[in-house]
Amino acid sequence: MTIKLFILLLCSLFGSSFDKEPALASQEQVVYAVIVHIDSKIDDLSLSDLKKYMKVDRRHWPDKSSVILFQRPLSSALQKYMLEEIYGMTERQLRRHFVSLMNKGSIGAIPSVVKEREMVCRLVGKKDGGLAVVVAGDLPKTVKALKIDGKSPGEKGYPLVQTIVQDS
Amino acid sequence: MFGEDSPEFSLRIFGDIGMHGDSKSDHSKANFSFGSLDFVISGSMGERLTFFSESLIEGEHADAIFFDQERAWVAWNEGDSFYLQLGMDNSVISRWNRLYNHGRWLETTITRPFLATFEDQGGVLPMHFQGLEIGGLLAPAAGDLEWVAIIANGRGADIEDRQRVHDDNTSKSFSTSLTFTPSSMEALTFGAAALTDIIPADLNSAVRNGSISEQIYDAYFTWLGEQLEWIGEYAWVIHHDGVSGSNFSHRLIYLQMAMPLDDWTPYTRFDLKVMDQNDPYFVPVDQDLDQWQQLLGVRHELTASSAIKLEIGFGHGQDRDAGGAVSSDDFISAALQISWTF
Repeated sequence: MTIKLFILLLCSLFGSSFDKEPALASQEQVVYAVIVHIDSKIDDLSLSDLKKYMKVDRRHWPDKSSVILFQRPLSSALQKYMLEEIYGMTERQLRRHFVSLMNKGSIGAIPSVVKEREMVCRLVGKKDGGLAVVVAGDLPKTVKALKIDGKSPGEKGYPLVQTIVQDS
Repeated sequence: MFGEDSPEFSLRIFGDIGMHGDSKSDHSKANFSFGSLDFVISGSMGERLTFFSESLIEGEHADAIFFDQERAWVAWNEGDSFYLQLGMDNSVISRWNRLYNHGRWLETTITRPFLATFEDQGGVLPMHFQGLEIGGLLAPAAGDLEWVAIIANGRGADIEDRQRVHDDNTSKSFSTSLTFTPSSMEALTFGAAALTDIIPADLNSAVRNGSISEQIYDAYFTWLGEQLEWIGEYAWVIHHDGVSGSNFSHRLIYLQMAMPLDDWTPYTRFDLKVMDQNDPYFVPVDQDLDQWQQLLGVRHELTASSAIKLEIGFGHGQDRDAGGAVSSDDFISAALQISWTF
C-alpha cells in the first residue's frame, strides 16, 4: 500500500509536469523607421540603396548634398539589428569600414553615435542631409520617415521589422 | 563670414610597432623594430571641395627613421557620380593598395603581399602616382560600378623614384580601374585595372640607357562576410626593354582568407611571384627573382582601435649573390605587431 501510494505520488509529480503546457515565449515586433530631414526630396528608398547609404558607400543624395549619418549605440537592439540585417557586418568590420573610408579621404569622420531617440530626431531635423534609423512612432515635425521598397513603417511588407523573442 | 563654406578638418593617426625575424636576413634573426606613424588629415570646405594629406614616419634599414609625404591632393566632387582630384595618391593598379594605403591597423595581416609591396621596400608595381584622377560611381539596378581614370608623371628611371615633383620624360602614364559590387551579393566586390607607362632611361647605366615600355593588368576580388573574409588579386607586368629589345613577363598573385571569431581572427595567405629574370628595371633591386610564401597568422583586437598580430611565414625564394649567380632556398619568417589608430 505504501509502495502504491509512493508510486502514485511520483506519478502525480511527473505527470503534473508532463501535463503542463511548455512556457510560451512571447514575441514582440519592433518596427524601425528611416528618418530624414523634413525638406529632403527623398521620400522612398529601395532596401538595397538604404544599405549603401547606411554604409556611406553612397555619400551624396541625388541632389548632390552630403549624407550625414547618425549611428545608434552598439548596445541597442536597433544597432544589433542593423549590423545583422542592413550592414551584414560585425561591429568590428563596420568600424574598419568607416576608418577605411576616412583613410581614403571619402569621409571626414566616423558617423556620430547618438544614444537617445529624441536627440537623434533633433539632429536629423537640423541637418539637411541627416539620416538615421529610429524605433517607429511619433516623430517631430522637422523629420519624416521614408518608405522602404515602397512601404511605410507599419505597412504589410515593410522590411525593417525585428521580431524579439522574450521568454515569459 | 565664411557661412556654409567654413572649413572643417579631421586628423587620424595610424601606428605600429613590433618584432620580426627572417632566416634569409643578413642581420639578427630576431629584431625589435619601430614600424610607422601615419598622419592622415582630411579637410573639407563646403560640400564640393576636399583637401587630403598623408605624412608617414617610418623605420627602414638598421637605424633610419624616414619622413615621407605619401599623399596630398585636392578634390572637387559633383555628388557621387563624378569627382576630379589633383595631387599624389595611391595607384589603382593594386586593390590592396587602394583599400589599406599605409594604415597598418586596417590590414588584417602584418606583411603586405608581394604584389602590394611598396616601391622602396622591394615592390614590383607602382604603388603611388602624381597626377590627375577622375572617377565616379554609376548605380545601375544590378549594383554599384566605380570607375577611375588617371594620368600621371609615371615611374622614374630608378624604381624608388616616384617623380613627385617633376617628370623625367615627356610621356605620361595612364591607368584605369573598374570595380563592381552586385546588389544581390553586397559582400562581394570584384574588378580590374590597367596601366601603361614609358619608364625613362637611366643614363648612368649602360644597360638602362634606353626607355622601357610598361603595361600592367590587374584583376581582383574581395568578399567581406561576417564569417569569412577573402581577398585575392592577380597582376601581369609586361616590360619591353628599348636597349636590348627583349620582352619580360612577370606575374604576381595572392589569395588571403580570414575567419573573424569575435575578437580573434585567424588568417592565411598564399603569395607567389613568377618573374622573368634579368629585367633591367628590377635587377638592381633583385626583384626579378621568383618567390612563394605561405603565411599563417592570428589577429586579436585589444580594443576597438588597437590590435596585436602574430604571423609566421614559410616559403621558397631565389637569391642573387654578389657575382650575379642565382640560387634558391627555403626560408622562414615570423613577426609580431601591435597596431593602433586614433
